[in-house]
Formats: sequence, structure tokens, C-alpha cells
Amino acid sequence: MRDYLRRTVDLATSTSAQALQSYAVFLVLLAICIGLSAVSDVFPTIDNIGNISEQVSVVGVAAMGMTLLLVSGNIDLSVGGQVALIGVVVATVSNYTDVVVGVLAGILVGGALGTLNGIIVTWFSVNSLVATLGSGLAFGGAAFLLSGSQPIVLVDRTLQIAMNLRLLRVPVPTYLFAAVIVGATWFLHSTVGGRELFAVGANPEAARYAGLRVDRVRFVPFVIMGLLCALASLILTGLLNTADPGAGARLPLDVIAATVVGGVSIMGGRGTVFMAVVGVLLIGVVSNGFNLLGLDPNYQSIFSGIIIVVAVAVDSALQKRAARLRPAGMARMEQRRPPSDSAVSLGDREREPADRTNA
Amino acid sequence: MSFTPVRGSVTLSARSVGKIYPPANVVLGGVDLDLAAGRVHGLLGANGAGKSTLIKILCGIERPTSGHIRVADGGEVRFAGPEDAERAGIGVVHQELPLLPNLTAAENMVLGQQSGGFWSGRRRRAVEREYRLRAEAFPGAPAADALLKTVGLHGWQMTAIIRARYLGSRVVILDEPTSSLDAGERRVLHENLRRMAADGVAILYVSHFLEDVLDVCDEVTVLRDGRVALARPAAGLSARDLLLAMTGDTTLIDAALAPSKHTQRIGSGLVIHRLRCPGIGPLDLAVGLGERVGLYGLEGAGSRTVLEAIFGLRPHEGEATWRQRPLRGHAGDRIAAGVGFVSGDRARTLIGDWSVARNHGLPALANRRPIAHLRPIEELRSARAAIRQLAIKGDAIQQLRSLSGGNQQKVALGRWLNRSGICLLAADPTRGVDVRGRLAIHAALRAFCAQGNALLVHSMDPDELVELCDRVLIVVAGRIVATLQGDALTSEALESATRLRGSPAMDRVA
Repeated sequence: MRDYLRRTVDLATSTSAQALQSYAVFLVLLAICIGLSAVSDVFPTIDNIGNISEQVSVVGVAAMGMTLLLVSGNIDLSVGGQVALIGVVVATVSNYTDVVVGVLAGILVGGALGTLNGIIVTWFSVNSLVATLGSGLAFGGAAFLLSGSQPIVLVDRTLQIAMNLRLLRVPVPTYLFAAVIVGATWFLHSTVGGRELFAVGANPEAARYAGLRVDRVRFVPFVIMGLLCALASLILTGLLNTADPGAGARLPLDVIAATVVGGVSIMGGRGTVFMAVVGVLLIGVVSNGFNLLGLDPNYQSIFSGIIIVVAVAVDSALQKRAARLRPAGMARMEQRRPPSDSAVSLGDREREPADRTNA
Repeated sequence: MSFTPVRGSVTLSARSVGKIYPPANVVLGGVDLDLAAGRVHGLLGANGAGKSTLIKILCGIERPTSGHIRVADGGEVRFAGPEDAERAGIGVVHQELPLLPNLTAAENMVLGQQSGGFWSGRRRRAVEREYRLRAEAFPGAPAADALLKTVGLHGWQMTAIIRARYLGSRVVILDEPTSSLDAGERRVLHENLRRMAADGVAILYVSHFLEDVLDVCDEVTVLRDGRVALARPAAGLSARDLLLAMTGDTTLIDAALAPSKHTQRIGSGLVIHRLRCPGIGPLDLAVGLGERVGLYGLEGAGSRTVLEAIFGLRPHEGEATWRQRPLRGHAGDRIAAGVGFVSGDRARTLIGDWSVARNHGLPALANRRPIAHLRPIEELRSARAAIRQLAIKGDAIQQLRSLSGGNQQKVALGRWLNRSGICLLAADPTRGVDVRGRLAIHAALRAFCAQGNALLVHSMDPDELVELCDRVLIVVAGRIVATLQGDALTSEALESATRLRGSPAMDRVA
């Protein structure tokens, strides 16, 4: 009872105008599902739904990490490189020693890569877009070097068997994805750390004035992202029983697309785990539908591209609407702030990223 | 535009202008306002009295739901947008000025009037010549080629005024022009306004500062709850008359004008020893428990920097203790030690998208473990308590942005008042807050300190410090040069004291 009350109060005190959009995307997802069920007998079967959830699990797990990062005002373009490198490490170490050691090594490397990204972005104040673009290239290169540019097949099939297992007709990767969803929801929406991510993403200056350790808050989601990349990589490697150094090429874009389609703001400070999950499922269902209908997969890319642009356009439109619901003209005035009253703080203004609340 | 102003002739008249936001939120209930050529007209009103709405209607941002506006030679006008108002000769110098920081003063003057051409030296020189010609009439105007982001708020304002003159505005609306100016700049601004009025411009001067209005205005209109509460020539009006018209109740005024009781209990409060950071110090100061101490200095003298250093937002040397607990490290650690910070710069310290409750609870997160659970119920309860304590108009679950500036400021303040044993550092705590809100904030700060907390406050407004503080330290070039207290503590004394050692810029070289 008390927990229910806590959630209700929490919901009431959140003033997210984004909720509307996430429901809109959810309705689109429902509509597509209903449409596909009407034209295809295969689509609504439990096995096919299991397939979809298995196929989206790699992108989905990474998308949960991306949600935390986007909310905190950062981004990670190195997920592809991370997943590829971790996969190669897992396969190599497994083949030399034991699969358990391989998995542990993968998790360790994931944490290390995330930590590295976090250090570059927070300690050296490099824009996360550029930092992770660079580190992603480096990780990818390392994966090719380490594997001799060849996919590595795992000798021990334990991982493959585990990942292809179905419990109660539901694939293991789906359970893992679900567990990550639960964990991410808990962290982002019910803990102090999650709220701090929102604060830092919405207005880093306000977070600083409230005594938050902004750098530390920004650092944590990078490490989480690294660990989730390790999990994604384990799922991917297990499903195929192969570590492909080129596996992650499309991953960053897919992950960001899914998250943004759901309505997580790329400008920071706004988004929910639910939104990201809806986005992941939407992309997965569309892809599945194209396969079932036997359409050229190239149409799928075009379609996905269109959905992403539409989703972001809707996001902007909602923002403008939200601005208009306030007394008109307020937004306009909020856009510009007078120069701060102490000359010394001019530097601060310049270091501060564009005011995200108005973006 | 061929317009020959006759001093005293009505340039703009608004008749029974009303604004109702659906469904039935009456913000303006039929207001009359006449602006005459050559006159400075003061507009006063508490937050929520309808002042900003009226200005927005006059400058075309909002449309009135009833009533009409006439200009001298154009008959009735309807503005579809700010451009229409500009075309009709109404210029606005706004609280948050819509000029471009990366352009020069001269370029901002012609903003939107000339497209391009700045790459060719000829056009640029012509525009700069034009600017200099106009700037001559305004002492203290920024140089033609000065980037606007480098000239400070006063420079922005001057540029906006010069721009309004360039556009041929015959009505110029100034919205809170003095809220961030020091006394000297304020004097210059007022001289410029009088000069502009002498040219036949009608000026609408909107301000929270009664003294400023009485100083510069010829006529005064006071709004209360969307209606005109007073409209008279300024001659013969006193600050008390204006306060009474604004608040409509005498108890608040008497409380504010009553002599402040000195509640000094110098114990082991805040002690700062040899504080140094770039441009500051070395500097010693102490604030006793229950004491309210002010820091006053000109813009750039560093009084705000001192507060930020004590709160740990700036790297610094020296020792600071609060109730014998050393203040070190990150701002979060200092909050744990009992220090709080409130700033008048709301855009920097609050999150507009969030609810009041979440903004209220933000500092409380700083010293909790990241995986600890949020306490939304406690947060809401605490926010509601702050709302009651400070009489904030709004609910805890409302989006912060939907509150008026004064109420937002109370939210920023309320975050620190729910604990005891706090040393509150306040930088311009009532900037842009109306008289009533200011009185309420001052009353809350007094009560807060009387419970054994301490206040170190910096303000650009000497009257505020005189009203609020037991003693005021004068900061010149990052050092404390004098202390004023008791009968010596007057706003005139504060202002002359800041000029004790010449200009801050000159001292800093030493």
C-alpha cells in the first residue's frame, strides 16, 4: 500500500510533458501489431513473439544503458566497438582457458571500457559525442587486431546452449533483457542516483548549485553502459556461437534510434525506461513484419529512417506545444538570459552547455 | 515616419484592456493607461498583478481579450505580433533582452533592419558611424565595435535603448531596467531616460523599486489584482503610498518599516580566515549565530565570488569553519556541514521543467547514496511546508516554470529553511521579486536567523542590505574595506563606501 502511494506521489510530482509522446508511440506499436496480426497468421504466435524478443535483446540491453546516458546529457557511440571487442575477448579467452573465465573476462573488459569512456568525458571534459566516436573506432580496431580480422568460433558450446535455451517457451536472452529493464527502471526512476541523472541532464548548473557531484553523476552511466555492452555481447556471441569483430558496425545507430523513437530526449534530462523499451519493440516488430511479409530488407532501413525522423519531429512539436501552454511569450523570454552579474562568471556561462530545458 | 511629438500629448492610450486566460483566469480586468510624449510613466504592481501581461499586450506578444489600444496618429491598433508593435513605434527594453551576444553593439542596433553587408567594410563603417552618432547622447554606451557579450548588463540595456531610438520608437517600454544595476549605473540610466523623454519619447518604466520610480517618473500607475489601484502624478507620492496601493494592506508595510531588532549572538558561527581565490582576498570575516551580515560591492568587486568560494563552487585557499566544523571539498560536503546557497539567478539554480516538489528536494539528494531510494512523500510534505511557510502561490506538484518569478525564488529559498543550524549564503536573493515577495522573503530570513542560523547575503541593491542586515561589509576589488552597522548603516553610506578606494578595476592591478 505504502509502495503504491509512493509511486503515485512520484508520478504526480513528475511534470513530464513527454508522457504523451510515449503513449503515442505505444499506440503506434499496438496498431502495427494489430495490423500485422491481421495480415499474417505467423505474427501473433508465441514462438514468433519469442523470436522478436530474442532478436531485440541485444539492441534492447544496450538501449537501457543508452537511456541512462541520454538522460544524463551524454551519449555513447562506442557501443558497437565495445560489443565487438568484448565478444572477441570472450571467445579468445574461452578458447584458451574456460568459458566461465571467458565470460568473467568479458564482463571485466566491459566495465573497463565504460570506465575509460567515463574518464575521457568527465576528467578530460571531452564532448561525449566526439570522445565515444573516437573510442568506438579504437575498440573496433582492437577487436579486428585481436581476432586477426576473422570471426572466432567458440569451441566450448556452453554459452551457445545457454543463450538458445527456452524456458517456458521464452528464450533466455528475453529473460536477460527483462531483468535489465527491471533494473534500469528501478535505478532511473526510484533511486537518488537516477534522479541525479535527470538533474544533471536538465540543468547541470542547477545540479552544481544544489551540491551534486556533477562529474561523478555523469561518470556512472558510462560504466553501466560498459557492463551492459558486456551482457549484450554475451547474448550476441552465444546466439551465434561466434564472435565477429565486425558485429557492432550498425549497433550504435540502432540503439540510439530505438531509444529516441521511444521519446527519450537526445538533449538530456527527459526520458523513461518505458519509452526506450517501446522504441526497441517498435523497431523489432517492424523488422519482423518486413521479414514475414517477404519485403526487401532495404525497405526496412528506409522505413526505420522515416520513423526516427518522425519521432524526433513529434518530440519537437510537443516541446513547442508545451511552451505554448505556458503564458505565451514566456518561452521566448526564457531563451535569453541577461549576462550574469559577476564578471568572473563569464567563463562559467561559456562552459555551460546550451540550456537544455529550452532545446 | 513623420511624427512631431508635442510634449504632454498622448502617444499611446490603452482603454479597459482585459486579458482572460481560459477557462476563467482573469489576469487583467480592464486597465486604462495613457503614455504621453516627453513623460516617464511608472508602472508598479506585485507579482501576479498583471504587469507583465499588460507589457506583453503593449508590445504585441499577447492579444487582449477585451479593450483596445490607440496610438497618436494611427487610431486603433491590433498587434498580431511583436513586429507590428515595433512598426507602430513601440520599442521594448526587456528584462531578458532579446539581443545577440556575439554581435557588436552597432550590429545589434540594426538587427533585423539590414540584412548582411557586414563583410564589406563600407556598410559596417556606415552603421558604426550611425551608432556613434546616437551613442553620443548616451554616456556610458558601449563602443560601436564591442561584442555585446563583453559589455555587461548595463551595456546591453544601453544598446537596446539606442536600438529603440534608431527604430524611431516613440514609446519605449523598460521592464525592470534597474534590477541588476549598481547605484552609479542607475543614475546614468535615469539621466538618459530623462534626456530621451526630453526628445519627445513616451517612456513606460516598469519596476519593483519604489525609489527608482519616484526618482525618475512623472506619473505612476499601480496595478493590483489586474486593476488600476492608483494612477497619479508622481509628485507628492511617497513610497508608503505606493506600497499601500500595491499590497492593499498595512500590516506588511508596518512590519517592513519597523526598526529591525538586532539579534546578534556572536558565537562560533561562520569564520573565514584568509580566503583567497583569483581576484579575491586575502579576506577574513565572521558571521555569528543569529546574525545577518551583508556583502556590498560594485559589479565585479567579487562579493558574489566570495559566497561561491565559501560554498565550494570555486577553487580557493584559506580556512572556513561553520560551528567549528571545517568547510572543505565539494559543495555537497559543505551542505552536509550545514551551508546552503540561494541565488537570485533562477535559471541557473532551478530546473524549470520539474515540479516545485522535485526542485525543493534537489539539494537533499546531494549527500545520499546513489542507490538509496527516493522519498517522494517526504519530499512533497517538505515542499508543502515550505509553500505554507513562505506563502508561495502555487502547488507542490505544479511545474516550476508556471510559477511567477517571485514564487520561484521562494522555492529556491525554501529548500534551505527546513533544517536548523544552517549558514545560508544568499546572492541577490530577491532579484526580480516584487515588493510583497521581497518583504515575505526578508521576513522569512529574519525568522530563520532568529532561530540561531546565520545569513551572509550579497545584493546589488543597497536598500535591501540596509533593511535586512545587522551589519554590512564593503567589498572593493575582492577585499573588505569597511564595515557599516547601527546608525551608520544607510544606503547612501554603502554607496559612498564602495567608492572609498577608487574604481575596483584600478585596485585589482595592484
